[in-house]
Amino acid sequence: MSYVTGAHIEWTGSEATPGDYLALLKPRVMSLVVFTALAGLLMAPGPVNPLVGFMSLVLIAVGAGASGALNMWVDSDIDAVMTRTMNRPIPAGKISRAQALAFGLTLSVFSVALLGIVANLAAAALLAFTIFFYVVIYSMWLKRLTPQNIVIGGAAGAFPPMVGYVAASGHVSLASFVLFAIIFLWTPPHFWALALLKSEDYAKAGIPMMPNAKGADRTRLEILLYTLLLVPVAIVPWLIGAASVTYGVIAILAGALMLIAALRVYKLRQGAEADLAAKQLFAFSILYLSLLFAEFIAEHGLGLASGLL
Amino acid sequence: MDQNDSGTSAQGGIVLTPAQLRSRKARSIAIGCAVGALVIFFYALTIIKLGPHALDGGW
Repeated sequence: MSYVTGAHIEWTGSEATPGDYLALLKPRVMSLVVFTALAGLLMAPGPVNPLVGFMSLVLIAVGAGASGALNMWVDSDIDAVMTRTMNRPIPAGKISRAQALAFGLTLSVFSVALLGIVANLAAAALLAFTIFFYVVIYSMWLKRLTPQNIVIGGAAGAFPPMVGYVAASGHVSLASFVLFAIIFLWTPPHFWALALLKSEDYAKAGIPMMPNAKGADRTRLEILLYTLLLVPVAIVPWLIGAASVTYGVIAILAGALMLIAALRVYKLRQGAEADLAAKQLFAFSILYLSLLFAEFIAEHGLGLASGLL
Repeated sequence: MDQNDSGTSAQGGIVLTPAQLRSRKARSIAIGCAVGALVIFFYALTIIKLGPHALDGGW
């Protein structure tokens, strides 16, 4: 690693491994992005060359990874004081901020430019906007400013299915907006359930997360309100004919369980029971979104949606 | 080459520690794999975009 001493740069060598650079890309977020972008891609009308589809998915994932690296560049100061993030490559001293910035910018330019060549310019522009939104609007600006930060950050996480749809079709549609809305509305209950358990961590880092900025009770209410919005919106793909009856049934049943989990978080406010309810909501929210998109991918991938099974 | 306390050799060059050498080798292999993947990527992309009948119209 290099560091500046006086007027010259002194090189002390680096022990960073490829795994450290991979960690900068937030691989778990990348896998979720691939999953949701695939749903958008498969939902688009008309045939897509499988290789073009695969390349587009890879580039969308790389773009998401690039924004993850740039996010770690921006957030290295707060990552260093939070137990959940203190082992990330920058606070752990394995990769410098400058290296993370260079890595993130290079991958951003590559992924956007190549998506423009592989798919179309509209998809490339939307991917560029997603990276800009996550890094500049969310990470640099609003994350440290407002307790609604997760709501805004959720929009960045909700773009990949739209990028996938545009990559395959060249335009957006109502159904692609609905996929965006599902992830957008899912993000607050998911992250606030975690924030209820980790509020001290966020307070230590000076991040105005809802529980430490507005209190746990307000957080529980907002979790419930967003879940009440999320559950009906998740059924819409079936109602507008973009998904089958099977999807509709799964969305209704899983939505009911999601609502029960949110209600438990709202009602149970003290002690170990409250913590358990928040943990259960956090865990179930992952299963809920995975179920919806897995069903969506399965039926569109197998061409079952046209038969409205 | 002998290494002094500041990690430089007697000739003034940089001497990496064994751990740094190992990680540099791993990074080099990863960069090589990435470049190889890019070659395959661009080849496949060219074939897809030009298509098998790219030269049918003559020069």
